[in-house]
Amino acid sequence: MPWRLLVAHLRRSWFRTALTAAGVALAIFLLATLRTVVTGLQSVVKDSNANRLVVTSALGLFKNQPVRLRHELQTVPGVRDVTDWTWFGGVYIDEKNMFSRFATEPATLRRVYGEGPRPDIAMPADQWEAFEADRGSCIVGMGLVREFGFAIGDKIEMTGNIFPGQYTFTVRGIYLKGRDQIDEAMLFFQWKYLEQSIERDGGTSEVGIFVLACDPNVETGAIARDVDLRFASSDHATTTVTEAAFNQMFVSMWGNVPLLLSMIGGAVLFAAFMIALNTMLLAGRERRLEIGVLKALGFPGGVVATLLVAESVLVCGTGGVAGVAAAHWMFDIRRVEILDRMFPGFMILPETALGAVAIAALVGLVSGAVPAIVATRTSVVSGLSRRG
Amino acid sequence: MLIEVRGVVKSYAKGAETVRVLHGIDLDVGDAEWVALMGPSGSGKTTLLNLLGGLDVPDEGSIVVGGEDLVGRSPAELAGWRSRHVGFIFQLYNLLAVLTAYQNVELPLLLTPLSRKERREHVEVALSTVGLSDRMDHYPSQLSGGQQQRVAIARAIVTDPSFLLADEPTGDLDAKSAHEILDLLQALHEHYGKSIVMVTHDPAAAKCADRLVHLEKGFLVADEVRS
Repeated sequence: MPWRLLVAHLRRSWFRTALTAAGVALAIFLLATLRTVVTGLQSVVKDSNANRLVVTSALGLFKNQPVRLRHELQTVPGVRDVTDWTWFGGVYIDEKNMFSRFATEPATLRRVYGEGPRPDIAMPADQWEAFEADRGSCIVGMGLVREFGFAIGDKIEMTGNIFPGQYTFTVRGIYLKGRDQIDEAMLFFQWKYLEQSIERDGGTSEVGIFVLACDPNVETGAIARDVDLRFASSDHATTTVTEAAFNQMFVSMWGNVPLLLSMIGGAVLFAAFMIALNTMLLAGRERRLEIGVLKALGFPGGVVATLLVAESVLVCGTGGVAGVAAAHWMFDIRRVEILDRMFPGFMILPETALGAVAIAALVGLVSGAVPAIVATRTSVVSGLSRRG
Repeated sequence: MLIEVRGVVKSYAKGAETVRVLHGIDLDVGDAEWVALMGPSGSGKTTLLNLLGGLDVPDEGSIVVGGEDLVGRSPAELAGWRSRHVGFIFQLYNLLAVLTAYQNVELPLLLTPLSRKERREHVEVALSTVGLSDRMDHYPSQLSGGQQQRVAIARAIVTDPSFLLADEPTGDLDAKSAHEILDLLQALHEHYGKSIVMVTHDPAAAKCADRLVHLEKGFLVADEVRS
C-alpha cells in the first residue's frame, strides 16, 4: 500500500487539507457543544438524589409555604431531615450580576447537602459552624469567588426586591460542588435573617420549598403521598415530588430546545459533510490520471479506493479530534463561567467526545467513499486519457 | 514468440454509435524484438498497445503473451499480470507530481514482497541506468522533460519486466532529449535484451526499431523488417 502517496497528497495540498480539517473541526466543536447542552440538561435529572423529596405549594412553585410546616414534615415516618430553600432574588451592585441567592436553615442544609462521603455542598466543618453561628452570615460557591473575588470575612451588600430592604451578609464559608450538577455560583444566607426583615415589615414567615432527606431504602413515593395527604385539606396543600421530578420540571421549561439544538447539530453536521465531500470529489477528479497510472502499474482498484477513503477519514478524523479537543479545552479545562452558571456541570462527556470523533470519521468515510467508488469504476484507459 | 495476437477486434462507444477501432489484427512479436507501431492518428496504434499491455480487453480475438492468454482475465488478474510483466512508458511521462523521482520509481516495487532495503537497491540501479542517480530526491516539476521521461523509463524497468510498451516516448521532447531517450531505449534493448513495442510518429524513433508495423483505420497494412 503506497501510504507515502497519501501523506504526499496531504502535504502537497496542505492549505486545502487544513481548511477542510478546520471546517470539520468547527462543525464537530459545535456539535459536541450542542450535544453537551442536551446531556447537561439530562444529567441534572439523571444524577438527582433518589432519597430526596421536594415539597412545593400545590398552587405552584412560586407560592411560598408557612414555615411551621417544617416541624410537621419532620414527623412524617421515613423523613430523616428537612431543610428549606427560599428564593431571595435581590440586586448585588448591579442587576446584571445575576446569581442564585437563597435563604436557608444552615444546620439542616448542612445535614441534607453537606455531609457524607460525597457531599453535594463541600465545605470545611469550621466554615459550616461559622455559618450556623452568625445570623448575618452567608456562604458562597467557588464560582462566585472566581467571578467576584469574594473572600472569607467580606461584606456583601444586597438590595432586596422580592423582600425589600438593604441586606448585608458576611462571607463565612466558601463551598465547592461535590458533583458536577451542583451550581457553584450560589449564595446561601440564614433564613432567620430574612425572617427578621419580613416580621419588621409585618409579613408572614414563609419559605419557598422544603427538601426532605428520607431514610435509606424507604419508598419515597409513599412518603410523598403521605405528605400531600396530610396537607390536602388544609389551606396550604402541597405537591411532593422526587428531586429528579423537580429537576425535570426545570428541564421541561426548556421545552423543545434540546430538539432544536439536535436539529441545529444535524444541520452543522450536514454542512461538514458537504465540505468534506466537496474536497474529496475535487481530489478524486484531480487524480484521475494518477488513478490511471497506479492501475496501469498494477495497483488493484481497491488500493486506489482505500487511499482516497483513508485520506478523507484522516482529514475528517483529525478535524474531529481537534474540534473535540477545542471543546474539551474550552469547557472542561478553561471553563466558561456563563455556561457553568446556566448548565451546572457543563462538560464534554467521554461518550460525547468519542461519538463526535466517530461521527467525524464517518463523515470522512462517506465523503471518501464517493470518489473511491468513481476511482474503482474508472478504467485504466479512461484514467490515462485525462490530464490532471 | 513473446506476443501472439490473433484476430483482435476492438470497438468503442461514441455517443449512440459504436466505432470499430481494430479490425481483426494479427501480430507476432519475438523475444528481444523492438517493434515500432506507426500510422496516422486514429489508426488504432495506442488501442493495440493498450491491449498488449492488458490495460484493456479485446472484443474478439486472442492475445497471448509469454504463453499466457490475457483474454477472459478479471481486472484484478490483469493488474497483477501487468505488475509482473509490463513496463509502461508514456508520452507525457505520467509521473506522480507529489512524489520524488526515487518514490516514483519505487512505486511498482511496492507490489512486490521486496524489503525496504532491497527496494532501495533496485531503485538506485534503475535510476543509475538512466543516468539520474543525482536527481533521486527531485520532484518531477524540478526536472526537465527529458529527465522526467528517463525517470519514467527507470520506473518501467525497475521490476525487470518481460517487455516494455512505449506510447510515443519522444513525442513531447525536443530533438536532443528525444535522441537521448532513444539511445537509452536502444541500450536497454541491446544490453538487457528487452523487447519493446513502441507507438511513434517520429521517423527517427522508428529507425531504431527492428520492425515497423503500419496501421491504417484499424487494419494492419504493412509489416516491414528493417535490415
